[in-house]
Amino acid sequence: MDFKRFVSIHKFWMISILVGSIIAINHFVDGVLLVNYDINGIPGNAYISWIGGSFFYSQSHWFYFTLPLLGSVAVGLDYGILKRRKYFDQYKIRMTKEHYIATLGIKVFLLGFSAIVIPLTLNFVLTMMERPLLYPDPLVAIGPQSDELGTTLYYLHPMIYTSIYICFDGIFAGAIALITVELCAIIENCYMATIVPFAISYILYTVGGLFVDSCFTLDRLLMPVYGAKSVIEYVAAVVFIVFSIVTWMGLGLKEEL
Amino acid sequence: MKIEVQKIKKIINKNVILDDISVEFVSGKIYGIKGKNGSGKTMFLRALCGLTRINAGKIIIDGKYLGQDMDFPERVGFLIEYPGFPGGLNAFDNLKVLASIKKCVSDEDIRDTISRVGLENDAKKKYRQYSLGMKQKLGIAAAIMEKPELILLDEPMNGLDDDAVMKFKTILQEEKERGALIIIVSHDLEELELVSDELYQMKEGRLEKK
Repeated sequence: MDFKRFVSIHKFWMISILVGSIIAINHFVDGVLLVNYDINGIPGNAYISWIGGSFFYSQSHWFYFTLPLLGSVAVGLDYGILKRRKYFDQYKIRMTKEHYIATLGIKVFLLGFSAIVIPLTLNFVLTMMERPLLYPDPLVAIGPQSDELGTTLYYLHPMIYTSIYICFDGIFAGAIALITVELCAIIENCYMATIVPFAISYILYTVGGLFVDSCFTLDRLLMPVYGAKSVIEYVAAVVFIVFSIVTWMGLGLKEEL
Repeated sequence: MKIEVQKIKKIINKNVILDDISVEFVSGKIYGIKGKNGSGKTMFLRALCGLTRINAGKIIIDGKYLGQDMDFPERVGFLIEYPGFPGGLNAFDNLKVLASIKKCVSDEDIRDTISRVGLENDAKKKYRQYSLGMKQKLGIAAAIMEKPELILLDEPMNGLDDDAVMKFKTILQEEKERGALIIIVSHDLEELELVSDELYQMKEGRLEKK
């Protein structure tokens, strides 16, 4: 019964999970299940065959390109519409202000986090069932290069690297979810507010396309196979995540949420 | 319960919405506030339940300052403007979601509240299929379900048919006898005169006793 209520309130979160999972399963079928070898003839390996492990399949690009949209849609339309109807006032008066800010914030963050982590984990687990968990070979050169951060971790402890990167993507999506609900509080049209994170990342994608290996390209930063070229990219990501939390608390205390 | 409102002001974009209002409300009574659209009635209710910040003055509830000692009154139920609930849930599920926050109401209490407002025959319908009157009934149910000490109702009889209005008046009397402090705002003087113990008039942000 509680699950039924959850699903009724979080329809767009379900849609995000569904779209993400369709891309993830499509990648698994197309890139893992139907071929014995990876696309360039390298023997199969779970770490380089999963959706975030290589850049040979279009599904990888689709997933990371649409990641900001999956994160924002997961909360923007469900919570934006309820926010506009002032439904959350009913929550507020049943809690303290701090409790409300924290509870709603954690909920929104986890919805964005899970919208990305669930499809990625699903793809990784399915790939692990089909491909061996062999340590990636640096000579094959699929995976972070020597000039990218985290390379040592990837080749020494690929499971830890992969798990951390899935969580990093999830945290990034959680921050996008927080920003989306904040935008819904500021912009009257919640559909517009929901599309803003994707529009910004699309602009970055276009600008990044003008440069080789540009750090502006968000999907490049979010794909585990690449990693960041410079620590500045991770710093920028952390600043964005902290910004989303600080603005959430600021807007909450100003009673805008 | 005793609410002391002391010289409160609310100004938005240089427009004075609430202008130097001072009034006292005590529990066990129904207060009616009549006013035209835009006179500041809704803003006054939002200020009383802590959902909007006032620019000056104080609201003291049982000796505690609203906004300083507490963010919202401890036990308040409200129906302000049109109630908005998740469209995919029925009456019980919608109330259950809200009840799960404080966890002070049983499933039986929720069913009883649904029956009190007259929604028992439509209990399985989803909120998005509700008429205006049914939405209003669910809003009233959400306001009274947790047996609050303070009940704030904004145009509660909007969209209600005659039977529902009768039921609503019974509910008001029962809540009053329970000891709740009830404040109703409406533009309809006749409605208010029938249910209120004390009547006030809101005019251009000022509150006067009638």
